[in-house]
Amino acid sequence: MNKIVILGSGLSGLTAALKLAMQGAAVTLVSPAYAERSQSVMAMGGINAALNTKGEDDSVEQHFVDTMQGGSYLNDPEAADNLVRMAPELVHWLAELGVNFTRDEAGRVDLRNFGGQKKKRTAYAGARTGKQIMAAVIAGCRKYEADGTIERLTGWRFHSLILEGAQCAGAVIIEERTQALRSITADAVIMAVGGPNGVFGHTTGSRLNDGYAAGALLSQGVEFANLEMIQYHPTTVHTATKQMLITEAARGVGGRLYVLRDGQPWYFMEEWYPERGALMPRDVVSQSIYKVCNELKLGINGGQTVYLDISHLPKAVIDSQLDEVVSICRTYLNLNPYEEPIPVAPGIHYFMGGIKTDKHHRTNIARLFAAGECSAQYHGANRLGGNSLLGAVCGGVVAAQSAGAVTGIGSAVADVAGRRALAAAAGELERWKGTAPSPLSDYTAVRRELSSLMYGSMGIYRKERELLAARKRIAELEQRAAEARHPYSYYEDRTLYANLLLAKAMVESALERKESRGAHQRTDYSEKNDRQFKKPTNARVAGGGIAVDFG
Amino acid sequence: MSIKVNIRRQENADKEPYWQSFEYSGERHVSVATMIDAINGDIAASAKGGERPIEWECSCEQGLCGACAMVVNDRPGLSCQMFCDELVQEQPEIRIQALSKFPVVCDLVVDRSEMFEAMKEMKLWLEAPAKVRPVNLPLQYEVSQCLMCGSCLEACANYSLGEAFTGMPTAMSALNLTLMSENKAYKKQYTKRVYEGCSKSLACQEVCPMDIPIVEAVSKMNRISVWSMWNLFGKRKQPVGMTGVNIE
Ligand SMILES: Cc1cc2nc3c(=O)[nH]c(=O)nc-3n(C[C@H](O)[C@H](O)[C@H](O)COP(=O)(O)OP(=O)(O)OC[C@H]3O[C@@H](n4cnc5c(N)ncnc54)[C@H](O)[C@@H]3O)c2cc1C
Ligand code: FES
Repeated sequence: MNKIVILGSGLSGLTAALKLAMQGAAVTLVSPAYAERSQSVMAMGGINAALNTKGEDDSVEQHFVDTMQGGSYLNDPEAADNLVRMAPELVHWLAELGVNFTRDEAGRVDLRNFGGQKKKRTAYAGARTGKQIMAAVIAGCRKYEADGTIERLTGWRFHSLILEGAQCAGAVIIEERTQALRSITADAVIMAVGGPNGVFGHTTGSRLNDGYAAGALLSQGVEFANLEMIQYHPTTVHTATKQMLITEAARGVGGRLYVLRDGQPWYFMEEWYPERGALMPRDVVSQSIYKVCNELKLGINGGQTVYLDISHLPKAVIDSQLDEVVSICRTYLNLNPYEEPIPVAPGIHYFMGGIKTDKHHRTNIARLFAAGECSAQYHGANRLGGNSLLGAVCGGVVAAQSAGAVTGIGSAVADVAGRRALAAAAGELERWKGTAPSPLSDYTAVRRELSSLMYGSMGIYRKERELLAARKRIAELEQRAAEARHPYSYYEDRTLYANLLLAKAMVESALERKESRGAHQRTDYSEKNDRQFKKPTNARVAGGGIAVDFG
Repeated sequence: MSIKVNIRRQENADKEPYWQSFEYSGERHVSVATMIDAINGDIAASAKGGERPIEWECSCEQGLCGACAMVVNDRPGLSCQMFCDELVQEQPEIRIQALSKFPVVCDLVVDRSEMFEAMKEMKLWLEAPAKVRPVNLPLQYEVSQCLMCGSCLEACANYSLGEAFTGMPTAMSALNLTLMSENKAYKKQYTKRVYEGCSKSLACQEVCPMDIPIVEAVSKMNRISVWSMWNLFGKRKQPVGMTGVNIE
């Protein structure tokens, strides 16, 4: 039976582990923390499937159309087709696995409205869909952990791929706290490390998703797609800690967006988009908020926020479906959303781009697969709410099928490659230990500057001048990073390099896409240009820099 | 005016713990987690250099993942959900230490693997597709919210590492699985590993950051697993000590 290494224990990694273990494959599951700590538990709103139980005549075909339209046709159509077709059966599978989905009066999985979709298609579990799904999948995996089919390595992170010629033979991993290194050879590797939040910092997601793995993979020759496609969720609130998400469910159940114009509430989304109003796809809502605040200068107190109002909704609806929203407002903002509107602004929430994979979740490197938010295939230029939990489960299932079907690599070959990769990693660590440490402040300064540079140049609207300046600044930061050696953490040191490389690839991808599409809006090329650009960007390292092409 | 923050530190399991004091003068309505970040920022910026930042665990920073549990002013809980302005109303200084029921890895980071091992030992997983009984769903939902943070075990007088008693995380899972299956194995495990060791102080319910209705859950589980057997043997009287818990 195949030996598979999975990196990441969020929903995609766990699903892959469970499916592979059920087939009897030997799985090693590596992650910096327990699955309960992964970003997947934070998902609140729901998971999409055209179950068509609401008498709205829904179908997988319509789910497909909404997904492709939402993604401005940069989605891989075959992969997206697969996604929507598998969705109903995946939601039933999750229900059988013990996910406590909210039920309708007939006892069926209930569905609700979510942005970018005309039909009720989003299954949910109270106000904590991700947590409830994860609890069931974790329990499913537990059985195989107990019998040893799944081996868990917690506290460890991906370090680098073991490459044997053009194929992947396993991974070198690093224990963050001790800096110990270890190589694990395998017939196939599945990357499921989540989105690279660390490149920006203060996103709505988990701090564990530091973006190291993506940058390290890029440096080893893995191809990335659509890196310029970064989702700004329209409704996040600013807290002293980070931007926190106010779930789309708030608008799904009737929450309204407004600003004051001549002292009166002006519901701009409803006026501009009478059919779907505040439930337009996220890119459209975020861009509308930007316009209201910057072109019309109607943001609250002249700033970048607008009001999200749920105070008119029945108390029972807020209590049962939006309790998390209430809790965030009360705890972090001292605000009572039953009575007051919530000041919201767009914030970074999801990375549509990532490791380029096909509909089988194969990458450009043989025996290397990727699933979940770290991979790109389903969502194109903009992801619909509820499609990413779906993409994580679906990706886990498909990647497990593909990885489970590879032929054995031959342990002798893999072992040699593994020893070589481990020796190289250990050598680099030793060299690092021999260099002079800098004050921690030098390191954190570069990190902070990278974050503000990325927010500045890769915001909701982008332009050539700023992107070119960002390119130059990143090169300078790379120089400084080389001098600002982290005083004690080799892993953190490497993470900064990896983040800078990924940031560079994001900026280069944004420069090449000379049009406006989905989450990528350029003030200097404000129109969509299907003739030239209805294709994903591909970024890879080449000749010491980043090369970007389309197709 | 700044707040004095005392943090119990320990470089690793083999070193001696010690207390270190810091002054925090940033915004008041911030979580303890955010304050620790700020203190670490000060450490990074300090001219001395070389000082070790405070190690602690976090992921979501908003009370959804259980990573950041620690003991603040002698109360266990999620540091991202405890607020400095509220804490200084109770007492002028803030005292922070790691959960004491688990081995310290470094500073505020502890090794909670025993909690996860217990779930495996007790075979807390489904063997057949889940049965849906809509009346049970609300309680199943509530008990599935357990973050595995360890706060309840910290507060529990009966829990200590390596003993048979596994505490409420396993009880919540056992109840969820029992309600969605015909399997009696969970009840047996519950009786042996939770019921028999629990003295019903219910300190767990008070500290649970998810407000899981533990009393309700435990009394339900007791009714289906323990008292149903009791009744079977014709001993109709409720076991002493359980009366206070039977709120349903
Ligand atoms: C607040 C919030 C709400 C959301 N709500 C919804 C919603 O309602 N519906 C929806 O569809 N989507 C939602 N999303 C998005 C969705 O939750 C994620 O996209 C999805 O869960 C990603 O799953 P994943 O398995 O790819 O990654 P994650 O759950 O992010 O897991 C990544 C895993 O990789 C590990 N890891 C990180 N780095 C390394 C490394 N170097 N080596 C090894 N392991 C590593 C992490 O620790 C973790 O275990 C939401 C996201 C957020 C932040
Ligand atoms: S960091 Fe997730 S609960 Fe505090």
